[in-house]
Amino acid sequence: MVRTLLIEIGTEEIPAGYLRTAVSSFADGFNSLLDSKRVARSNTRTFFTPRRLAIIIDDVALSQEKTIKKIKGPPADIAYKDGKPTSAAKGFASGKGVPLDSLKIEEFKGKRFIVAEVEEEIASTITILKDNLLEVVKNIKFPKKMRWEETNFLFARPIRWIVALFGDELIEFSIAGVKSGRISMGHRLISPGEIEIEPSNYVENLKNSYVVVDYDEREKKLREMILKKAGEVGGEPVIPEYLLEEVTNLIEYPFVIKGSFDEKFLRLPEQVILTAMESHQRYFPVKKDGNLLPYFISAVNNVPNKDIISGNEKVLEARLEDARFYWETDKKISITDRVSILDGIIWHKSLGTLLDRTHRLVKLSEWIGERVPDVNNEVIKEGARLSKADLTTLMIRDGKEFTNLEGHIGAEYAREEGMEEVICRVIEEHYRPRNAEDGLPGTKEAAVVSLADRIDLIIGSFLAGDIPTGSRDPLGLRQAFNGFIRIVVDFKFDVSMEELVEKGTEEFYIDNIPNRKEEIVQFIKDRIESYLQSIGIRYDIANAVLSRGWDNLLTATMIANAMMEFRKDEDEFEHLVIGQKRVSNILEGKKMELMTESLLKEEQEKRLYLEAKNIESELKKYIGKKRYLDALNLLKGLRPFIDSLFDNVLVMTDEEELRHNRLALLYYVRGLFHLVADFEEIVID
Amino acid sequence: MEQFWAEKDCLIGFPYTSEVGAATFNPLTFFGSLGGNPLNVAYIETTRRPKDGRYAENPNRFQQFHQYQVLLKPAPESIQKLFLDSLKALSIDVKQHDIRFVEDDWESPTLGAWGLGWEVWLDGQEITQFTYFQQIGGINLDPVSVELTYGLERIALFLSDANSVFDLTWSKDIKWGDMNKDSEYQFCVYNFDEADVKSLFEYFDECMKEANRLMDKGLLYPGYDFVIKASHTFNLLDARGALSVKQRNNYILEIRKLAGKAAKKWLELYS
Repeated sequence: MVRTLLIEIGTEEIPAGYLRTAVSSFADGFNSLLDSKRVARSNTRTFFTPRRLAIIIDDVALSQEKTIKKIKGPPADIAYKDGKPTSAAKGFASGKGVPLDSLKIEEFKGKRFIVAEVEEEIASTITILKDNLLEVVKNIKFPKKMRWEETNFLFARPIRWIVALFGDELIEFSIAGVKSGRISMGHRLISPGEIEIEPSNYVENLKNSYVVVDYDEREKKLREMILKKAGEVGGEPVIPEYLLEEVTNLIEYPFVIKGSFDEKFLRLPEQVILTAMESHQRYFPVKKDGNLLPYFISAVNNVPNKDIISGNEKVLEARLEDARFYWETDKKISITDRVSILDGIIWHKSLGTLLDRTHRLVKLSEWIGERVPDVNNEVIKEGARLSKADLTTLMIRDGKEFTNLEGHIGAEYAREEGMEEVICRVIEEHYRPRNAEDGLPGTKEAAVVSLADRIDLIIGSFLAGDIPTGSRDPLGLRQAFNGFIRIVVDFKFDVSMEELVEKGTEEFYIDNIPNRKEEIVQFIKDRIESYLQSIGIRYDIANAVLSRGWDNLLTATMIANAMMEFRKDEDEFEHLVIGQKRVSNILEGKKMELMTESLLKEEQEKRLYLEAKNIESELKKYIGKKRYLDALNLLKGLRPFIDSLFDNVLVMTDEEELRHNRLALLYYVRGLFHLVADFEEIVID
Repeated sequence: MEQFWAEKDCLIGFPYTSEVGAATFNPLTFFGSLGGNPLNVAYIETTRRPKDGRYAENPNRFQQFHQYQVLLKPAPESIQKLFLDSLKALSIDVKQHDIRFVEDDWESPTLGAWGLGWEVWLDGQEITQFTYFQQIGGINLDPVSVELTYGLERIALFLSDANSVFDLTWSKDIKWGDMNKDSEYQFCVYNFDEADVKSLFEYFDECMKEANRLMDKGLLYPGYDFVIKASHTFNLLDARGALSVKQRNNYILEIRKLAGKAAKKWLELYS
């Protein structure tokens, strides 16, 4: 006998972005409950709209599967004397409720005990559900939860009804003061009544009340309708997938409207129009041959009519009107003139204004620009000078609507004024990457300014005492430096961090400048360590590389990658490392003087010296050219000679002069390895 | 609106007299949401947000506008229905429009207050902020209050045929614009161009000091009034573009500390 299980949790509108994860954690919770309780079933299906999370599990058994539990009794030699059960065995059997002759003997850790096999009591599925549903619901995952009633239950939004049916049987329980029942609710606006639910007909029951409870069905219909509407004006809709998913989760039944706006707004930068449409109103823009048309398409949660369309048009026009106001007002002051206005904006109480920051950015960018090949330093300087100018515009300063277009807006104003495109791109792209998913700047010049921007922010914050701790990093310094590393590695910029931090600190002309170098260096080390980890470098290789030097992030990353590659041949790698460890162990951290060639006595020490000497210049050449894998292969060639030395020559001889000279030889060899990495940090599994 | 909520057993309150950026600042809500006693209160609030001004050129954005505020503690179970009924009372036929509850986790960083809820959309226009308060002044609320903040100009615009708030009919011969346009423009000039930054910075510091001093003496309401004044001064500095992002955050933190102090004081004195 099997039944269908249906649970629907009816809520006030749950945020669109929460639903998918929530319902899958709901399903996981159910399935792990039923697994742990040994309840057989077949498919699980999940459903969600803004007002409900639901799950249907088919063919659920009426009760648990039987299971036999073994219970260990007294030792066999006490339970049986002369092959006959003693009172100990009898007592055990009757205590467990099994016949005396069903007792078995089994071995535990070499000793024999009697064992009773007891059939576990089985619970009915409905009891299991009743007892555990609250826990399953409690464990549904949401990014944020709230309280709303007196039991202080936590959920994404208030729960207002619960349907819980096992076949036709009601599963009685309550959550947050809401009792389970058979009644669900229809569409809030179109069919706002109660609906009695039959588990076998759930999807249809709801559809009759204007709720399409299946996400995929809602999305598919919406997409078709959007395409059709755009086609009516000869265009194609722009459908970002994230937006389609979001609007699908803002409605319970798919309807679509098409509206229009005044063509004059098309003169605004495209990004501005798109921001107004997509991120504020969740509209789909319409394009033809790559250009925006003065139309939009919106999913709505009610049967479309004239009022709904004109209402939406009014709202969009007001937003665009706002943007146009900013655009026209901002253009009255040229982007170049805006630089001086930055003087009126305090960047940080103790660190001066945005103009001060701009001056530092120009100098730092120039300094970095001089250290990387093939960049146009004039472009870098001008780009850096204008990089923050758009922070004085209304469009950005507004703090709400278009603020996340910073950089882009500055570039658009610069373009309007006919500024060189390479400079516009510095302004636009020096914020990249904004986060781990964002792309890097598209030009070297923008990349250089981006580095300056980041290091200045980090140094400034540390000087002002705003240092990230634990999970607290309100200024996003970690993210800023992660972007720094990505740029350095991708653009292959050779920059000494120590020099850069020093230079960056010098640029802050503030009183009583605190010395934060140590903290900043520690921060940088931590970041690069976590970066190396994030690109799949083993922790011990990261340690080996960083112990050699963290100052040049590009070098550190490239060596780490070469070591990972080299490590693929595990045997070779291991030998190399063990050889190095022997050398270090014997040196015990001592630093040695130069060795004297004439004191080399044994064949093996002469040979090792010769071989090491032979590769030295080539090794340094490879390292200079950042060909670290080649360097490692060269070092690998020394291994047999090191082994042979250890096998045949007594390093720690009593003859002091010889001993010193041998240690000095090993010290010299170790030095060659250390040109690449600190092999002592490597852990052999 | 007032009649509707009065019939639902709401106390009808009054607007506050210092400049507030939101009806939440009114002690009726800020203190009202604290503590365990039930409270239902509704009132209109004239709110000022210097940065939102547009020199009276934009038909929908102003540095001064009106909110209708409803605070219900504890939050009634049928609150969403009550809200829709309140729209019906304003003669909005909810069956004929697209009404949506779109996630908007409300936060007032200066008040140390946050809650979860929605902005309510009426045909794509945000008309109400709907929030279940979780914290005020950094204090966990129990019971939880629900706050409804209606944007009155937007609703009025919706109900009329006008395309601009300035054209809303105020009385037979007078439009909203006749009453407010000049002052709106002049305040924008003040907020954006003329406000004296130096003295605002000084005044901000004075307000903070005074708030602290008064609250330490147990003079909670005057002290809290200076928190409100500090907050408005901060908004003016912000509108003048005198604060960078970093600087802004520091000021917000300072105000939040004082708001937290006020909330704690209130609980000490009254609960």
